[in-house]
Amino acid sequence: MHPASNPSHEPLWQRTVYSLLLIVTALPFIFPLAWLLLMSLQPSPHLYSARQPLSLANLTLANYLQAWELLDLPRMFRNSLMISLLSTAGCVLSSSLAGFAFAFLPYSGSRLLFGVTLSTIMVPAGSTLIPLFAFFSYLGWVNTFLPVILPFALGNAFYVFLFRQYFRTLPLELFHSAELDGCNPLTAYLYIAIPLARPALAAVAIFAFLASWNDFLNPLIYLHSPELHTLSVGLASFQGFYFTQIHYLLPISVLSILPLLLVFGFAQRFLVQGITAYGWSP
Amino acid sequence: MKPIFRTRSRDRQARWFLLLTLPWLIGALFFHILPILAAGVLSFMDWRPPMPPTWTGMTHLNTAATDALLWRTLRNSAVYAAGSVPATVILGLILALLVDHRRQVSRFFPAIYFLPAAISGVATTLMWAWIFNPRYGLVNLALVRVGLQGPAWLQDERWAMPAMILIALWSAGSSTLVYLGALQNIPAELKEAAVLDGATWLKVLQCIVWPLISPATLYLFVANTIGSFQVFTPFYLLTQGGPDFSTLTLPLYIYLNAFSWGKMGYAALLALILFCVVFVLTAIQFRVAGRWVFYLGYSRH
Repeated sequence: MHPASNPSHEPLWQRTVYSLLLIVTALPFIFPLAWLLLMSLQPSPHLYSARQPLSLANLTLANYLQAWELLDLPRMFRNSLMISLLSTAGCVLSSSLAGFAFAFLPYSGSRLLFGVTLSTIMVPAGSTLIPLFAFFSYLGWVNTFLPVILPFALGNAFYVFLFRQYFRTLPLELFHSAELDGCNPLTAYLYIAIPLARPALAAVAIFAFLASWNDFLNPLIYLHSPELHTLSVGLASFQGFYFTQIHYLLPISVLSILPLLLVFGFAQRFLVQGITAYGWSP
Repeated sequence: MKPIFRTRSRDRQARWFLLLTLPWLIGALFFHILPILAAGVLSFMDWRPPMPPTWTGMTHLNTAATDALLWRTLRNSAVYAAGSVPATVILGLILALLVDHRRQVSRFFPAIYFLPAAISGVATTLMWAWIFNPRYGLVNLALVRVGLQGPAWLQDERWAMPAMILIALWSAGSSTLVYLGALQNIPAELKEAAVLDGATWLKVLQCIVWPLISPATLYLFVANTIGSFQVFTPFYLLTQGGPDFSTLTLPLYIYLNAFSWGKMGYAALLALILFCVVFVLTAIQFRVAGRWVFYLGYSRH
């Protein structure tokens, strides 16, 4: 933040100290994950002894192979993936449609409805838990995927807000001429707004995917049958049964983080841009 | 706001608006607004899921007034929020200032800071169980190295909540990104002019940077406070509220009442209390904000 801080004008020692500072501050964020990975690759006897030092010498995949046989991981992966993808698709669609309408279709009630939209941020998940459970049991949807998909898929105030802000930065002339060419609001949304909103779409899609993939409370309440279990619920129930059997727990934890790391690796640019550009995160 | 689709009548404009916002409005109504109202109704009822609900009147309110565990829960939730929210915001700011120190801002380090917040779920929570393990855990092994005897963390009444707060701090990276965005919006001329006038780094931070990022600070305090009253996974997985209820927080207490103890009606009342607490805290934060949050004329928000 210092105006004069241009690397080329700084002496070498200052640049070194700065780089070191960055690395040292990054360590606590990355080290637990690296440690988890390292632990999961240790021979299992080493995990139960405080004296055995962790070593890079005898890494093994044995824990992974054993854990893979113990749990129906592919099915949990499939469930998690299906739920997350459907939630994400719905969420992106509902939020972007609403954001588009709030940005471009002034209507006497839109200010009020936008206020209502923002106020839903103040409703904590814990306080809607019981009524929603009552609602979904009344509909007979408990033990189906619907209660874990629908609430995500119909959008989220944060994302509606992000899309509205993003669409407002687009030049209005585009939409004026689109209308002259015979576009109605829906076709203007489809053919003009959406193709131009790729960064916002990417950010929201990834946030929604991560939120749905990491969700634990809803699958815990609604998905009772083991064949419906997502990775998060499966992993948690596994912990209950095999609490001391860390050599199973570690590899499964790593495996369930792996897809997230992949998504994050590919998409971190959009996430970081999404947050830094709009000043919010969900 | 200027209308885009000028030639259309107001009626058609309104119809398009409602059509496009319909999915979200249904979601907002059914998953956010109605449930709060329904919680209000349910809190006057008794309900054990296979049976239909029955009216009980004020019973739950009376129970709540004398429920010692509820007060304990409220205190725990307050301690958790007070311990994690300001610390997360401050840590987020420090890291953002560090990254923003360079004109050519690194993209790599913000991503690393943000990684834990992005991936935190059941797997990372279980990882913490092992990190805080009294005998084999990373933390205590490290403490032994430097000759200290670490506490039993999650199994120790006094250390369980601090451990939970440490876990929350691991996700401070999302605050870093919000601050980074705010810092990058500060016009460089302002800081350069101040330095030319002889201002020190601290003075620039205090008189220029801090006021200009105050909207981000307000946002982070509000959002993180609401968020801290929603945290469920670590409390459920790591401690189940123990030892001796020292980590029993509101969302977990609601869950236990509803799904472990079959007290749906009472849980609905607790849900309403949770909403009121969050609502009041948010209102206070916005109220106080008038005094210290500074909006620059050409701010985008």
